[in-house]
Amino acid sequence: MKVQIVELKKSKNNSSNVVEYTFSDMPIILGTVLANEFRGRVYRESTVSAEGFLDKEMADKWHDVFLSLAGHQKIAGAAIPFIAADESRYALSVFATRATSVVCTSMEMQSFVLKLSAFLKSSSQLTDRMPADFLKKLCQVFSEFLDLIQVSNSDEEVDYLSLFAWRERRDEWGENYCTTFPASLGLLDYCIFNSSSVQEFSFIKEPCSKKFVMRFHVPDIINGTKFADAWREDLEHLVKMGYYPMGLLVNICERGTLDSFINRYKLIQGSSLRRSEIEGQLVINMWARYSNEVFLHLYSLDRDGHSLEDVSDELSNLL
Amino acid sequence: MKISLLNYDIQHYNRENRLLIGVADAPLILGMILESEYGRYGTVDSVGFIDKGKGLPFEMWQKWQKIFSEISTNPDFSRGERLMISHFVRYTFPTFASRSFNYDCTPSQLQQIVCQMEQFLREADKVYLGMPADFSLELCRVFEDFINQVSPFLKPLPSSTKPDRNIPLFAKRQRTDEWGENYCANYQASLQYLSKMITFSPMIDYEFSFGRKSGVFASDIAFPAVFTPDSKYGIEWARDMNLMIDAGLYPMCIKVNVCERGTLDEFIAKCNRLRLADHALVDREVGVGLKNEVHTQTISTLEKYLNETQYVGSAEMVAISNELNEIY
Repeated sequence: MKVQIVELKKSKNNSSNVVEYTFSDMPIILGTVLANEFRGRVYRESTVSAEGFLDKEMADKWHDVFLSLAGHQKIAGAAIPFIAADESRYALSVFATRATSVVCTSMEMQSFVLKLSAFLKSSSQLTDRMPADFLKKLCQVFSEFLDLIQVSNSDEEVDYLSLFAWRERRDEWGENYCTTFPASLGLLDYCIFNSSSVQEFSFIKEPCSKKFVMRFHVPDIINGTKFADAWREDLEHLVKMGYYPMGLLVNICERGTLDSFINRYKLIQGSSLRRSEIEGQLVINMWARYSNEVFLHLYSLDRDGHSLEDVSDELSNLL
Repeated sequence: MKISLLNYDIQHYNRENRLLIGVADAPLILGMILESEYGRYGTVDSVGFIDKGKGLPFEMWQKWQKIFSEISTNPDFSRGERLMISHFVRYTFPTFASRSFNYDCTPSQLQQIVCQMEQFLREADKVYLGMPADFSLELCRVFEDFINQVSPFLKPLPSSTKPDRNIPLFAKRQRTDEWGENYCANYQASLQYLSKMITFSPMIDYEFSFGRKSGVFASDIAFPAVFTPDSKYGIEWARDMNLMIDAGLYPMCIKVNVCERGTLDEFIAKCNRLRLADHALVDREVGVGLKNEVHTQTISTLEKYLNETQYVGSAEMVAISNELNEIY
């Protein structure tokens, strides 16, 4: 990973200079952590670096499979490459790299670096929160980042990285919402780049043995076909190799206000429609389907004997 | 108001540039709207200067500036407290007083703001809770001016893709209090407090509505912590500020109904940042223990949060109240 730093706007106070940091070959997971801290200010290349990684080869293999399967289904021709590209991303490792840039102030970057340092210091306490090999790789990625960005030492109290869940949270439905659901790392990445709600994740554990459970998202296009088992086997192989594919299911806890949810819902509806206008095919991705489920839950809400009529009214306007 | 494009281009893997817009002589309320919507995504340079205006606002500023300077000469106050007292004069600024700032955003974010303003212009008379007609009319003028001036920087959207959203800073309805993994707190605070908090904690959602009695605008006013309402200065302050309200100037000391929403972590982060800021402000000198409105209000919300969570038996609520107790 290399970094190029460009000062965009100089301020009287150096700490609030606006700076653009462009990282070549940044692991996807670090990009996600960065995007979670700097909402709306992280940009990245759409293609992943192809440097002979095993996961890239596998993603390419599945891309061809999806392309041929989509061609046999009643899907408009223009949508086929999009579907194939979307679904094959689930076979990419979260440690695969792509060029990423972030625009922030020097002060914000300093605060982010301190959070990474705090994470590294407390990493030994995290072994029951994530698999050991994942944690080790993550620490390596963070250390490499810290070597690139030097900041002055500070003894100020820092917040922790908000992408990693430190405890379980209860579901809440009202003026705000909080819900935990199993979904892929790919969906988590997508949500962080496209919504104003707050997400955090933890690995799924078996309730009794407390072992980590490795389950995978199976794309619709191969679900129920002979390819489904091969897909699971391939992703499992990636996990064993320490690659952790984007199709791995984790527990995502999402929190936000009613308004942020409504805006997101409208955005999904809008984008699906735009896509349908352009391509003649209504493409509803997993996120949209999940939002439908949350919507139904929220809409039928009657909590502790008093219904939240205003909340319900706002949601019914979406219908 | 004068808007200029201090552009810098960043055209990378995404499809958008970022814009840097210089906004000169814009009303304080416009800065609050922009910051509350996109302060979390972009950067807003802090207040360059506030124009004290002419006539009544200038007279009030001059008079109270002098009074606060006199009060702060009391040797019992620490250096930090003296600084705090000098800031109390901001309560006298009208909501439409001019301010200059730079605003950093993407064209689509700017487009969204414009769509919200257009929606406001269409529905100003019926959507927003308790907003006085003259305040709404003045806002309409500001928005029209803003839209006209930024329109050259925008990429026009087809009408089918225009977001259907109201300005989030203005409350449309009342909300119920909630305390848990997220919180929703309703309280009364001054516009000055609101303005400060929007800048200070951009990840928390704030909305407000004006107070009403018998269907007409009737708001209380906030008093600077340095004197009480029934003291000599307190009585004079109430008289002066009411004079400004009667003149339709809406000073920043007007108390409005604030609804604050966010996650538990954002609230904790806000409290921690306030504590750091407080330490920096009082510079660890011992004074008379003057507390500003931000401090008092945040402590009050924290206490409410604790009360509502610590006696609820579930494990998650215990975890929440433990996290809150750590900062208390």
